[in-house]
Amino acid sequence: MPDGEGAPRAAAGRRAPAEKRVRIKVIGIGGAGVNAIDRLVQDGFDQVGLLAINTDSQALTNCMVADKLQIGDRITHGLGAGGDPDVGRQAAIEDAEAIEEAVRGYDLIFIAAGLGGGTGTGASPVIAKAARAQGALVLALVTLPFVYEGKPRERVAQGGLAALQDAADAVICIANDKLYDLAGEEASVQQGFAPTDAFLSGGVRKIWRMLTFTGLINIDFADLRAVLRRRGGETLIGFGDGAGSDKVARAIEGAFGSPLLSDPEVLRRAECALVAVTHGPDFKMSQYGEMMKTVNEKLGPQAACKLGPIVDEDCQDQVSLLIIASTGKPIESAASRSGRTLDGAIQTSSLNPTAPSHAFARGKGKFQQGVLNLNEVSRGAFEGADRTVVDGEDLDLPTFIRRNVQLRQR
Amino acid sequence: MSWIPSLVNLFRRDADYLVGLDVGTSRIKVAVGQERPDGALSMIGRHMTESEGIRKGEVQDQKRACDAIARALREAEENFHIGMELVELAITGAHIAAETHTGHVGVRGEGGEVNDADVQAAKDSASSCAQLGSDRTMIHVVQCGFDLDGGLPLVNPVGHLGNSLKAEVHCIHGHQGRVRNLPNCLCSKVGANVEVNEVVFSGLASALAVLEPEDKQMGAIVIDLGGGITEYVVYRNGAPRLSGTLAVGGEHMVNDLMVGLGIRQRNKARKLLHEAGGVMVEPEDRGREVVFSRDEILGARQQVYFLDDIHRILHERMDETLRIIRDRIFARNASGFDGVTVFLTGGCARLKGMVTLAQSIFDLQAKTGIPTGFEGQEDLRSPEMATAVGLVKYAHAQRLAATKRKRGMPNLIGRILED
Ligand SMILES: Nc1ncnc2c1ncn2[C@@H]1O[C@H](COP(=O)(O)OP(=O)(O)OP(=O)(O)O)[C@@H](O)[C@H]1O
Ligand SMILES: [Mg+2]
Repeated sequence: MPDGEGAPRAAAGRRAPAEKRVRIKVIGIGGAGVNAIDRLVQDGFDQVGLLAINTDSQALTNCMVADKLQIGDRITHGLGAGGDPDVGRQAAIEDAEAIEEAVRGYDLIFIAAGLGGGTGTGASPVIAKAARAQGALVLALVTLPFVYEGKPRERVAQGGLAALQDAADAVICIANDKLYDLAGEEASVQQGFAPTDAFLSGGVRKIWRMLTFTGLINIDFADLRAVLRRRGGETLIGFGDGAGSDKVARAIEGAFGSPLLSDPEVLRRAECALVAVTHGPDFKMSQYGEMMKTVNEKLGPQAACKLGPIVDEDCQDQVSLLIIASTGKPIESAASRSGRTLDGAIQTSSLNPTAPSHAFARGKGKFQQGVLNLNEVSRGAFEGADRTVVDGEDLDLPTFIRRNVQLRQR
Repeated sequence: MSWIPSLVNLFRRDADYLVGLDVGTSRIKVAVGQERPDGALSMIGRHMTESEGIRKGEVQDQKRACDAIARALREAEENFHIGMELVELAITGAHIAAETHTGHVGVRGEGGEVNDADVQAAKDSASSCAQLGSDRTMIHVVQCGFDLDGGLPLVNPVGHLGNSLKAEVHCIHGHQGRVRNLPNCLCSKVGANVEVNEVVFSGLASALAVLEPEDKQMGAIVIDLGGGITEYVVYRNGAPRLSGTLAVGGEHMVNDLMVGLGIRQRNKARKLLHEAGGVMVEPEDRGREVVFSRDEILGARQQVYFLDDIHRILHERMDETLRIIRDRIFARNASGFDGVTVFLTGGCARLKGMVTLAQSIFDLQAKTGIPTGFEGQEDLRSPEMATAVGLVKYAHAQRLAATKRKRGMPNLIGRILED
């Protein structure tokens, strides 16, 4: 019997094979954006493409990212956009070709920028649009200026945000005040980094991990797209880590203490969410249940959720929770109106992993390809094969979970 | 395994061997038999190896599947000291579907006596009802039976007198492209140097292996529970009337155990399935533990699992699987199943409690399906060998039918298998 061999063939927590990996690039735009990706370099995160874009040649020279693109040299002469978003926009348009080249061939592009200045505010929507035109899913992570920076800057930022919301698939937007409030002045000074950068760096890394490691139940790129490509609403993200005996409580605290998830009212309006849990092999089903119970309560019963536990050997006695949610409505298209659902649609289901999924399965008739199925099981074991769906129910998911059968607690 | 070829075997040409090749999701099984001079089937042996590149019964990674098949055939040849030229190949997959159709024709034989042409015309008329989509291809048209002018069922109507001949056929078909994937792995340019004689639906092959003629007559439901997919075939009045697949198998149970018990290594969950698996939660399971020591599982700490958790997880899965199949079988007509027996084949039929579970879900007698109808070779009499042995029996019956046709004898055996 081959059992007991060291390396399991399709174990959880394994990295997806290279050809299946999602091609990701993170682009920092303008001063704040470039700082944020500098932070990724500092964190030693080199698994994705990084690109710094700025009009300010001096700022670009100082940044640690290897791949840099200076835009709008003819209009700014390398001196920055002077706080004027129009200049930022023109600069991007001037170098449209180089930008197009830089965004080609990626599945997912993160755009990081601080709104309120010239380059980040003006160039980001142009770059987001170019990236989408090349077929990438574009997720922008941006900050709004501090209140003390004044009304005009606020107005510039709001204008940029609106343009970006049109151009990108989803925008995650955080007010600087809120970030600093929550991080606590002291903490950030002591550790010597801006909470904005930490937030961006953490978000990118956690999303990367979610997409790259295959778990027993897997969240994949299509799932992320289904949550990000929606009509209206806000995109929310939060993550937290915990270790030791109170690891579950800590991770929950961290995730729901993040600036975007800390408002219970907004959370209650969430229409759908991805919940990725990375834990060690020692993590218990009961702890998982405890975690999901809280997440369930916080998000409200209407949210369609997809859970993705990932087992990571290096996470002994640790757990990390990532939540990406949206209050937007599913995109309706001609196709979906005629009975087919696009991948923008997410079926409604209860979040509770032990709740029977009959609720969403029943009456749906045939399973439509492209519809995001919740609670789906490992592609590891069934990689390359169609899902087994009978009467709308995904049989690849364990029966005992769908039937809400309790196992003995240990 | 050591096997010394008998004198008879030494004088036989390799083409006389009947080879069944079952490329399963978990394992590749080769069964080898031969026709004795008196026409009876004698089995020579089996060879079983790990399978690769197969998911839910279908080729997912052609390169790996080809290599595994070539290796399995090479090893089997060495084991049995034979060269293989021709194999019967089992195919399965979620795309396979089947229906039973009837067709009527007016008898045109001289003096109202049914002749071969009438039989063929009636069968053609029945199978033309199948109306396959352009992406589908027919795998089998099994003739189930005939009647003349609404009279008693006839096995072979040739020579009988009547006006209107009715034929019933069971049509098993699959997706055009997907049906070819496995046979493509056997063409000489990719490795294995054998020719595929016929492609046979796995479920039908398993049924042929384990059913006696009386079982077919009394009625039988054969369910082959494999590693990635489950096939079922229902026999009534001597012929298959309903068949299909459900892409659920042992790997689902392995997965369920991994999720439920937090097991990270697939091999470990498999071991648990094989050594502690069972599909009924028994009162005596309570409080019993299964311990995996450090030595058994490299690197991991000692792990303890509750037997009732294991059985509960597996029970839910098999309960669901059998219920789905039952509902499909009983959907048309739940009555008249008295006396029908459920036969369980495939590796998962070995799981403790399967017979009890099947008995209670179908409310019929159930048993483990063991290949029969040949001499010798006890190691072929196990449920997971059903498909491969069935292929050999299929080849044997085809050959017998062909010989009889040549000698001008009525084709009786072929009626179950023809086409
Ligand atoms: N006691 C047991 N010994 C061996 N295998 C077992 C046992 N109990 C259950 N199994 C399971 O049986 C399955 C293998 O059965 P089998 O060889 O019939 O499948 P297969 O033909 O390879 O797959 P498929 O027909 O789905 O393509 C595996 O999932 C294995 O885990
Ligand atoms: Mg099989």
